[in-house]
Amino acid sequence: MIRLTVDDREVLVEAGTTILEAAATSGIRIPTLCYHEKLQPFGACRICVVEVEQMKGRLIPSCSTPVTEGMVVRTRTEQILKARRTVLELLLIHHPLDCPICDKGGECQLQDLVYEFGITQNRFKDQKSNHPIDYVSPLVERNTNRCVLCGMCVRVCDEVVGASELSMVNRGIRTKITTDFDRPLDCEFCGECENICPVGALTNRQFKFKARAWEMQTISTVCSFCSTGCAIKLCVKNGQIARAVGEPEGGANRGSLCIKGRFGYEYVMSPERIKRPLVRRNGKLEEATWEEALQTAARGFKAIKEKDGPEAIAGFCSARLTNEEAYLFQKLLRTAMGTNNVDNSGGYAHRGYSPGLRESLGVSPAVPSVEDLRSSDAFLVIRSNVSETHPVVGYQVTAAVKQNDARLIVADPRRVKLSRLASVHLSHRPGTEIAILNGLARVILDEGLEDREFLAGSTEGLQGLKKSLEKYTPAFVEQATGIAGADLKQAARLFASGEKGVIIISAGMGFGGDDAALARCAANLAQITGNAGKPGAGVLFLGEKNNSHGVVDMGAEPDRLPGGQRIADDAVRQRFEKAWGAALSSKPGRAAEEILSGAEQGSIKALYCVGENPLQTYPDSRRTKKALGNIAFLVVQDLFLTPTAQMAQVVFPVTSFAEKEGTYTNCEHRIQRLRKALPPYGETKSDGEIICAVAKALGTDIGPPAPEKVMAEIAGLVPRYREVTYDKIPVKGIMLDGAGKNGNEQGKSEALPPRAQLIPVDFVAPPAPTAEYPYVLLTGPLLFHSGSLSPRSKGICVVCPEAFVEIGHKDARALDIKNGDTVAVTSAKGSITIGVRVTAKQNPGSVFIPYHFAQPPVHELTDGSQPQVVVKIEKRTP
Amino acid sequence: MAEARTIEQAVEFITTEMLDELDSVIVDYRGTPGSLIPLLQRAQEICGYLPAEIQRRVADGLEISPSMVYGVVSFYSFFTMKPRGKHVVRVCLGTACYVKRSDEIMQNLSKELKIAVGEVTGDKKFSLEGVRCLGACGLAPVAVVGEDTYGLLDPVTATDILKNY
Ligand code: SF4
Ligand code: SF4
Ligand code: SF4
Ligand code: FES
Ligand code: FES
Repeated sequence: MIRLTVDDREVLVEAGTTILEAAATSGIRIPTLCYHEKLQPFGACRICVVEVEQMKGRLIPSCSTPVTEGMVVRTRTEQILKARRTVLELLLIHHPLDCPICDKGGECQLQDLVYEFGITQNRFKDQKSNHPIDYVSPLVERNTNRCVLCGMCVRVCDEVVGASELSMVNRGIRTKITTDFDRPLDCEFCGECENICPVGALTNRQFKFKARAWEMQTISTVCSFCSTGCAIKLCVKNGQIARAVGEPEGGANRGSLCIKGRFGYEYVMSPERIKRPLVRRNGKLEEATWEEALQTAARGFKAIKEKDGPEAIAGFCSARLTNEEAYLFQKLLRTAMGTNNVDNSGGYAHRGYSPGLRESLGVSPAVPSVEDLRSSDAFLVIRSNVSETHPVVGYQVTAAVKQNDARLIVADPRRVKLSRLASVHLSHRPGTEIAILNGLARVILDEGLEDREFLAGSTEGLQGLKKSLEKYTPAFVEQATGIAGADLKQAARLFASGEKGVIIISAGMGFGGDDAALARCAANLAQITGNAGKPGAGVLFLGEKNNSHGVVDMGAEPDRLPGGQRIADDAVRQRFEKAWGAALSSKPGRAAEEILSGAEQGSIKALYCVGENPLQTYPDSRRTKKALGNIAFLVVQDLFLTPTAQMAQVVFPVTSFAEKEGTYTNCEHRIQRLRKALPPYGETKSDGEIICAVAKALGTDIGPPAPEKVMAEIAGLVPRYREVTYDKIPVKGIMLDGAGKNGNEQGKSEALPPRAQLIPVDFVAPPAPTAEYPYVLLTGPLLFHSGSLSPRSKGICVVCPEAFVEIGHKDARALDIKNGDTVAVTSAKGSITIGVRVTAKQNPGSVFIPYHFAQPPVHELTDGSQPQVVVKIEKRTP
Repeated sequence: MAEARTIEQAVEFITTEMLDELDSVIVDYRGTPGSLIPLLQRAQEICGYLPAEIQRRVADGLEISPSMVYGVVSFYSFFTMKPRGKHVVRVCLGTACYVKRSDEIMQNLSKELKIAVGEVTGDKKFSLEGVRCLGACGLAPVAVVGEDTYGLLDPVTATDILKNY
């Protein structure tokens, strides 16, 4: 610890702290313009200067000078104030001072400082800066004339986002912030630069002329897209969202956002939303009253229950429901309807992942927190394009690599953003991840790089695992995956050399493969390297949607009650029967896949589909269509009239995340609260309200939908939620398990079971390309979108409006295909016509299609029973 | 649009042999930290200048962003984004030379070569540039052709120096 005085106050701080930070700890504010806690110090603006007795004769930039023992610092002498005034005058020479029409007005740091220092005239004069303004780039407007050259935009884009789209160009007085050759932005459009810009040089185009900073009401809530669970602030004026900004208090994101969080909320205000309930009359969906719709739904379900039994009814719920709503949904199915046929979209996308991890690491495996990732020093990113699926988690990895020199290994068949930063990029054959993980484990054990102490003290099954790894020699792995032995070894050594290693895996409909096996394999590797149960280390599994993790915790699974507790376990079931006052079936229900096959064969007759759109998002859409067509009574609950909703008997319109309350549980098991920002759209009701109303219409009381009441019930039944009190959840959320009490982000070692299991997993080769179908089709998410919701947001669609197939240069040449051509992509299941992007990202032999778009329907090509499919490609355009 | 034009220019001034050589050089620098500036110097030696297309190639090759490359190229005065002739004619416009009418020398050279400052002759033999003080004020006015320095020039006969090339 270091002792110093700041303005006569004694301050005690850790070595390495800067003067600025030390002053802040005792409540002394020093103005800054180029400092940000997320970025490395830059020391460019000199507004933060202070005097230090030991460094007499010059002014010291406090943001970039570390404290030393006995330092005597003054922050507000006459000389300092004079210097700050001069800095401001210099900045104002070229600045246009067009505050009345600047969107940063009212929250501009330059404006505030000029006000604070009372600068009324300028001793210096020169021509005002007159650069052209960039009105062409989508979402971000650039007006360099207002720039103070703090460099924060350049640094955040490079050090955190990792896009490095902006640069300081030229030199001296001609210095400005721009891209190469002043072209418009062609980047991730995360808006982090616009958000960090202290002045109006970079502004949010969606927000242009919408509101002054002080006119808006600001509501802290949670992003509705991915499972990173970024906290966002919705700024509302006149009942409309004027913009979204990152919530600096947010536990996972600390104010950062990606394009979806910042610009993707627009779907909430889409005129295409359904306003009133719809009921099918004479074959046509027509508007109805809530009463009529609810009664129709209840009558339909009752009729089928009486005629075909409860087992003929099933429910799908979206992983975008709140915890409370998912809980109510499975309770409705299990009590009022009497069936365990309930599953969530995650069940389809990554079935087995949670069970896989549970078997290895216990019921609630310790996960590294997103915040702690910055302190991790080794990353293995496998089957996860994390920078696109969970961009803000990607920022943490980028920052760890760029700011702290963490080691990064990326295993991805494509050249992705993170592979550019990686020390080793394992560009493997699609679908061979398990062979890689086994290969890495074997190298580590062979070379004696394992964490022996951890293995001996905390795990079981090492001998069996060693035996199972015998065949995974580097030569075998090379043959199976296409990864050279030397690269595999280098990756293994690198990962094993980390003190805090993290394995990152993402889930999503596009990532095929056996998730349980992959989970076990990743857990094995984490254990071998001792990366379990300590902060900043472990396996981080990223569910696709905002509440992918919560809906699993809430029992929206066919064989498990809330809390992952098995329905077949008598003691468990009896506890729930008592709490719910209803008899429960002990027979595990059908999972999503089985529900569809049941529908196909005629054993599932009624389906309650909440927020799910299987027709567009599940594999093999022809088959899905046939199955849904067979269902006698389909009820859909959604924001939009999706293709699935169009087939329904009854459609309930729901409120969006911005119009309701409830909680989400993110990928690091942080529970956070939604807060209502807008009144319900039209006559919509929340999913929870509708589910309770359906129960009531069926003559059952499953309790009131109020989230605080439901959460109290959940806390009584689900051990890991027992400490959660709805009203007490702070903006940063609460970490479940152990660490929950004070919300601190440290590791949760108490969640580890006494002994973690090392479970051998064998690799099964994926379907190989054939002469007829020579390419492997990869489907997956894009940075710009999430699920099928974001294509409804205008701003995002300006950046990324439509689907395409990515083909590597070599394959494109062989097929005589150019960028922008149209091709037919055909699998054994079906065929679609789609535009081409020729890209260096794609390796020969595989092609990629993002899955967010309704058209063309990529799931006509996929196969529910196969992790990936092979396709052929034919040129369509002349 | 601006980019399309520069690439056209590049096609005019940069040969496929140059590109091939550049690509092989890039491979040597890949993965070495701090390699951007030395690689750009090599690229300029090979291609003569650093237009958008060459900068993109360097950026792709090193897997860094083109904006970063542009930032560096635009910062250092020894990099040029305009094509240069075989012989670069630089006229000193520093104070000492200026008072000795180096602006007239510039005008005459420009007339003689039929190009403006910053341009290249049609046969790509000469390009014309203005520079700050060359540190040879004693010899003012000064002009440099390639590596050769010419001092104490007479504004009227200064164009004769071109005859040596
Ligand atoms: S929007 Fe994001 S990626 Fe684009 S320049 Fe700004 S910070 Fe960089
Ligand atoms: S554009 Fe904004 S953030 Fe970037 S350097 Fe200028 S003032 Fe700073
Ligand atoms: S989509 Fe995910 S990463 Fe992006 S802002 Fe929302 S929660 Fe954060
Ligand atoms: S904040 Fe310290 S120099 Fe800018
Ligand atoms: S001014 Fe021309 S050489 Fe110094």
